[in-house]
This record gives sequence, structure tokens and C-alpha cells, in this order.
Amino acid sequence: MPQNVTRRTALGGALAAGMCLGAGNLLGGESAADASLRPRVRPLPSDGKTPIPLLGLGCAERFPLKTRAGEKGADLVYAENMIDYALRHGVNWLDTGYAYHKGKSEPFLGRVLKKYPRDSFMLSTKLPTWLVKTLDDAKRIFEEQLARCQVDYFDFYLLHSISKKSEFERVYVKFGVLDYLIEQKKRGRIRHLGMSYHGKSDYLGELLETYPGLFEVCMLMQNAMEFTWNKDAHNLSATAAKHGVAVLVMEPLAGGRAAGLRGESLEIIKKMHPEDSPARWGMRFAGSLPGVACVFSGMGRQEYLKENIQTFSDDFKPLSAEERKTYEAAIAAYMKHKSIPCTGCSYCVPCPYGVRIPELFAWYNEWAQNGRLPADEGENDSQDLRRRFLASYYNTFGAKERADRCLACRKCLVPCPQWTFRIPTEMEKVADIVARTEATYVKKGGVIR
Amino acid sequence: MKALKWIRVVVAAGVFTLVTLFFLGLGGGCGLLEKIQVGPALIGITLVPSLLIFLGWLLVTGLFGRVFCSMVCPLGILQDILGRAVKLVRPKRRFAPHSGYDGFRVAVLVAFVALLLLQMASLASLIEPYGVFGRIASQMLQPVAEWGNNLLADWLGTEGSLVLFKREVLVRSVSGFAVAASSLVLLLGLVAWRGRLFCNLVCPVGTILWVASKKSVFRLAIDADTCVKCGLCSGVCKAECLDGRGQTLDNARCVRCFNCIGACRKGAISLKPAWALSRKAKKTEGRRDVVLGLAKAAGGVAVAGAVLGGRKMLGDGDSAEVIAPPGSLPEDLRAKCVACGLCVAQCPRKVIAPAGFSEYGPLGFMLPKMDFSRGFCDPNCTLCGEVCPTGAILPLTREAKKKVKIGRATFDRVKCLACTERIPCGLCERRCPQKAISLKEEESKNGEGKSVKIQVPVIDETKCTGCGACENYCPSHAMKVKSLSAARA
Repeated sequence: MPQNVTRRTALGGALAAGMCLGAGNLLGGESAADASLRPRVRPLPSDGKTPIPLLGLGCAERFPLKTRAGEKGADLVYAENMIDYALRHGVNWLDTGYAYHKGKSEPFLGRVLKKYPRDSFMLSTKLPTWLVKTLDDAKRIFEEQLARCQVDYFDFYLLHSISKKSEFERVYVKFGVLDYLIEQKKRGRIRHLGMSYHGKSDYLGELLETYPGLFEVCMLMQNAMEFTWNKDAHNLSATAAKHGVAVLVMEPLAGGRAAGLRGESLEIIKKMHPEDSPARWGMRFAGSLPGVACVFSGMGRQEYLKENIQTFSDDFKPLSAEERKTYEAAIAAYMKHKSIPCTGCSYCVPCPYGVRIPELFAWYNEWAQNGRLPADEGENDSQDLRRRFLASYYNTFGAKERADRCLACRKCLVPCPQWTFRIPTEMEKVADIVARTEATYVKKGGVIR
Repeated sequence: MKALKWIRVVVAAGVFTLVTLFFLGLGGGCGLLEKIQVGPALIGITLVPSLLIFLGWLLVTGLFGRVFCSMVCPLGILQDILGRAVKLVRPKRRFAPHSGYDGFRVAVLVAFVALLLLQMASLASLIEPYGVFGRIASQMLQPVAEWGNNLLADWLGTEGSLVLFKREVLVRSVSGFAVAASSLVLLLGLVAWRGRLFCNLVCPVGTILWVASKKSVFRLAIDADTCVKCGLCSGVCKAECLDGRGQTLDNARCVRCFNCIGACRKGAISLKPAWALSRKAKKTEGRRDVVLGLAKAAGGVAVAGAVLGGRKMLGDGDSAEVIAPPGSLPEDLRAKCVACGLCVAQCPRKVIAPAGFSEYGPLGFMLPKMDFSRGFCDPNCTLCGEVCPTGAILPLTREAKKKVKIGRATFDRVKCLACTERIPCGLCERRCPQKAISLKEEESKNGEGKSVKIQVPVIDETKCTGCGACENYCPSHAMKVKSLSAARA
């Protein structure tokens, strides 16, 4: 085995070197057409030279998962192969964060990227705002991040999850964290500063006006679903673009949900382009927004990566007005059914009382589609549906992991970047529909057996 | 006549399957068969249905002999199954007739009855066949069945027409499992060594039916004219009561398996009414030594007395802390529960668990108690009382169950998250099925000395039934259900 690793490592190094020289290379197992596909590259607006690929590799919570029974967690061998593939194909911007994969994303990237020359890839990570209680916290975390990633500078360093003015003022201004980061930039340990933003558009405008030129990139949640439940969302990218800040799109597919269109919504888009997948539509939608420099996606399978590279390659076409209308109609058809706009980012994990928050919301959304909610929530209510709904709930979640265990302590609201919904409120809704379904399922005075 | 054996096998297989399925608690089986067992009927004899069942079995046994032991008693059928397994290993094993251990078995029966009268049913249940079987089924088979159910549920998923609920796989109590496993091993040993020795040496039900079948109307008899004294029948008689060479058959020890009829090549053995038998065939074995029997019976009383002394010494545990299932009191369980585990197996929320050595005292281990760590007692559920065969847990109607008090919830401010960490929790209030908990607003100082409002639970004792929902949901153990007697003190 060591022999193998050595060979692969050497091969990876050679490939990266080849890529730097700009030599097109044909690789074993890939067709010539595949190997030559690359995402379109454009310069960063703030400096006019840093080449930015239109597609970036997100390294948050969506690394490929182990699929064999009894195995849990990310399949890191698969993930490493994917990163190798991405770098071979010009997807050379990797975005991670301190909290991603419960803190394992950064060290993993450090280990994988070590075999590539530092200038062959771009790495961005984020300062977890909610964990910073003093300036020393920020310093400690920053140093830890450099060590974890095994690099001596970050290409981009983002303030993670900015939404409220009070929080920004306290952490970055009052504690002096912003000054510290500017100093790091001067020392060359940060090449470009930016932020990931989850608040309202007017405060974003205010921030960008207060610190002109400081933030070169702004990461925003931009997808058609977000636009439906957050009427302000489309103002965000427009605001950033107005200030000449490069927009980085996160969650282009709303946690994968936009890739899972089915039923009526799927028919709408298939009617226009029978060949195109919902994922391709979603990616094109994100890439067509104003000011977008790069679309980040956490891709769980190599096929997704391949498809996205193709979508964002040189023949990338922004959505036409007609296409955009069709896509929004499809999303509207999907959104007819109540779902909870949780993206599954898992910042709230672990709940101190053991409630499996993102899994519960994902489970609920799965059932909310196509009117599969029982009791008085959906039009397809039947005893059979109730039984399947309840069995799915009870079989998926242990007694102490369920929605009815949420005591509304609100600890999850601190790290949660969403402000269009509140976890405890939604959790009580999930508990409520399960209780109502059970009450109708067992009819008069029985118990579930 | 040879059909009799096959009728016995088919009936026994059906009964065993239904009884066992009911113990697995997965929805199948037939609870009625648990209700008509002789042992539980004897224990609950003060209730009219139990008395009728007991008298009914005496009548049946008086007519046909101990058909109960081979066709209805689950432990008897289990022994036959184990016997089959032994035969696979030792295909040539043969039984040898003997004259029985009448004095000893009477002494055991006397000790058994004495223990019941002294309210030590769980100790008596160690040899009560239904209880022994129940523990094997509920402690050992149920976890396996639940595990299988979960595999099947995973495989079926939620998309097909058949969808299963998964079960928590639990071995409910270490002591209960140890008792069940050791009784199974002992039983296997006895079966491998001497067939149905348990039924004719230890089993109190066997002894009662042994008395009742002495003068049974229909008897097995060997026809001396056709019999060639080959002894094949003796070899297959697992009750070891048939001497083919001597042409004698003890109808009282016979468990009516009819294997001898099947084994006899001459058709010399048959079931006949007593009046059709010759005088010689009617005569059973020699006279019993009455004096010796009485002496051993006195020994049985002495054993029970010694156990009573032991119980006085060990005490009855802290019954102020333990909560008995709805429809029962600790006294009822001590007097009547055979610790079969049927209520434990059937409880849909897994609230009922076998007690350890402390709750009901060392001699009350394995008796059912309420454990709210896994769930709470559903106000709509009346299963434990419905399935209990001895009347230790009395059945409740749905209406009565909604109101019956099984305990009393108590609240400990020191542990409450609302009081200590000022978390606006209120989970107990939201989850109480009786709406017995309300939240009272109080002023409190937070960490920075500012005055904040907190929501403190208040229990309405007239509404609280002690169902344990608050204890089960409370993340900080501030809610605790205590027994009613403890609450009074």
C-alpha cells in the first residue's frame, strides 16, 4: 500500500505541475473531451488580475458520505480523489471554514493540499464570528487555522456569518479583530479579505460603505428558493455588485434541494430543456446573478463535480429572461408545499439536548414534497400515508433525538445563519404534526404498537 | 389411535407458536392462551374467572389425564422441542421407567403453596412453568425478535405497502436475563438427562394435575394379550412412567404425549374409558408410603417458613420509591405476580421494567415496576392489565385508566433549567398529557445581576396521575414521579 500512496502522491504533484505550466494533459481513464473541460476563468474585479474560476469547491458539510452499512461520516478517500480531480480540471479554489465537518474539514484539506505547490490552488477559510469572545480567541483561531491547513497564507479570509450590526460592532470593532486581520493582510498572511453575509441588504450596503475597498469578496446565499422565502435576498448580490465587490455564491442549490426537483416542478423545466438536470438549472441561475465571480458548491459525488464543470465551462450561457421565468415557475411549484428553509449547514450541531436539528428538518422537507404530509397538512392524507410517515419518523430518530425533545433553550440560534425562520419554532411545528398524525392514526384511544 | 400423537403435535405446535408470538410483543399471537394456564389460575384463584379456569382444568384432567402438560403448557411444549434437539445429537437415547418421586414432589408443591400464601409469588414463580417460560420468552427471545424486526423494517423501508415500526432492542434486566438463561440451561440439562423429569419432580402444576389424573376416566392401557413385552414403548416414554416389559403404566405421571401408541408395533396401547379396562390394567403401581410423603410435605412447609424468616430479615425494599404498573399495588405484585414478563414485553412505550433487588426487596426481584427513563405511561393504554394472567395487575377500562393515579409528580427547583439557568424551557408543561402543569412567572437575577422573568412549573395535584411524561421529558431530572405512599408521608 505505501507504494501506491507514493505513486499517487507523485502523480498528483506531477499533474499539478503540468497544470501550472498550462499544458493540456490527457489522463488515463478520462476521455479527451472530459480532460480538457475547465470552468471559465475571469479576473477578480478588485485587483483585475487574480484569476477566478467560475466554479469553486465548497468543503463545508457535504463531503461524500460513506455509503456502506454501519459506516458513518465522510468518506475521505473518495473526497481526496475528488479534490485531485477538481484541481486537475481547473477548479482550484477550495473554500472551507473553521467549523466545517465539526472542525475536520481544515485539517483534511491541509493534508490533501500538501502534495500540491502552494501557488497551484487558492484556499479560503473563515473566522467563526460566534466563537470569538475576545481578541485572543480570534488570534488563537487564526493561528490554529494556518496550522491546520498547513499553509502560511490564505488567499481569501472571510468573516463568517455576518448578519447583525451589534455583533459585528462588538466582535470586529470593539474587540479589534478587524484591525488584527488588516495587520495580517499587511504581513501577507491574508491575500484578500471578505465576509460571508446572512443579514439584510441595507446593512450590507452600510457595511460596504463604511469600509470601502476592505472587503473584496462577499459570500451570499443565492438561489431561487431563497429568493422565494426571503424577498430581500436578490437585493444582496445587487448591493455587493454596486459596490464593486465580487459575489461568491454559497448554497446555489439550497442544500441540494434544488437538485431534487420532482413531480410538477421537474416537468416544467424538462419541457424547456429535456436534457438539462435541475442541478444544471440551479447552477446556471446562480452563475447568472449580478456581480458573481465564483459559485461554490459542496459536491457529494464526482458526477456532480463533472456536471458542474461542464455547466460552468467556456460555453457557459447566463439564463435568458424566458429561462429565468421558467425556472422560477418550477421553484414556485416546488415551494407550494411548506418546507423549512434549513440548508443543513449543521452549525447548530450538536444540540446540547441531543435533538438532531438539520436531520429532522431535512426529513420533514422530504415528506413535505408533493403533498406527502399526513393529517390535515396535505391533500393526500390516508391511514397508509400516516403509517409510513410515523414509521419513517420513529425509525429514523431515536426517542431522545426527536423534535418533541426541543425545550427551546435557543442555544442553536446563536450559530444559525438563517434569520427567515427560528429553529425552536419550526421544531415545535414538526413535533406538532407528528403528534397530530399519531392522534389520527391510532384513532380513538389506542396506542402505537 | 396413532392419530392421537399427531393431534397432540399439531395442537402443541399451534399453541406454542401463538403463546410465543404474544410474548414477542410485535403484534401477533393470542393473549387468550396465556389466560388459561393452570399456574396463573391457581395464583389468582380468588378471582372468579381464574377459579373457573382452574376447576375446568381439573375436570379435563379428571376426564382425559394430563393433556394440559403436552398441549397447552408452553414450558411442557418447550421441553418437547428441546427433547427433539437432544435427539438430533443422540439419536439412540432411550428412557428407562421408574416408580416416581411422589413424596418429594408433594413437598415441593406444599412449599410452593406456602410461598404464595406468604406473598412471595416471585420466588414461587421460579418453578411455576408459565412464569419460567414467560421469562425465557420475554427476556431472551424478545430482544432477538426485535432485532429481526428492525432488520426487516430497514429492508422494507417506507415506500412499499408493508411498513414496520422499529423497536428498541433491549435486554430489560440483567438479573431477569440471568434467571431466564439459567432456567433454560437447567431445563435443557434435565431434558437431556431424563426427559420430562421437571414435570414429575418439581413442577407444582404437574403435581396438582398428577393428583387430578389418578382416577381419570380415559386411561392409557396396555393390552396384555397383544403385547409382546418388547419394551419399545418404554424407550420413548419421556415421563418415564411406562414399563413395557412389566406391562405397567402410571397414568398419573403420564403427560399424554401418545408417543407410546406411535411406537408400539402391535397396536397394544390405547386410550380407553376406565370401565372398559380389565382389573389388572386398572391397577396402578404399588401403594405409596403415606407417612413418608407427609414428612416431606412438612419439610416443604419448613422451607417456606425459613424463606419467610429470610424475607423478614432482608426486608421488603423501599416501596415508597417504587411505582407499580397502573391497576396494581406492590402488595398485589408480591402476592400474585409470577414475573412472566408479559406486561414488560407488551408495554408499547417500554415503561414497565423488571425490578432489581432493591425496589421491592431482594425477594421481589423481577416484579414489574415503572421506569420513566424510556417513555411514559400513555393515558390511553390499558395493555398491562389486559394481558396479566394472574390478576396481579387488574384490567382497567379506558375511562378509568385516564384518571387512575399511579404516582405523584414532584418538582425539584434546584435542578430545573428555568430556575438555575433561566432557560425558557417549559417542556413539562407542554408535554403533560393531563395538563396538570402550569407555568408561574417569577422574578430572578441573571448572571449580570439584572432582574429577569422566569417560568417555573407548578403541579396541580388534583389532575396529576403520575404518568411520568414530565419525568421522561425533563432534560435535567427536575421532575420525578414518586409513589403515592411516599407522597403521603
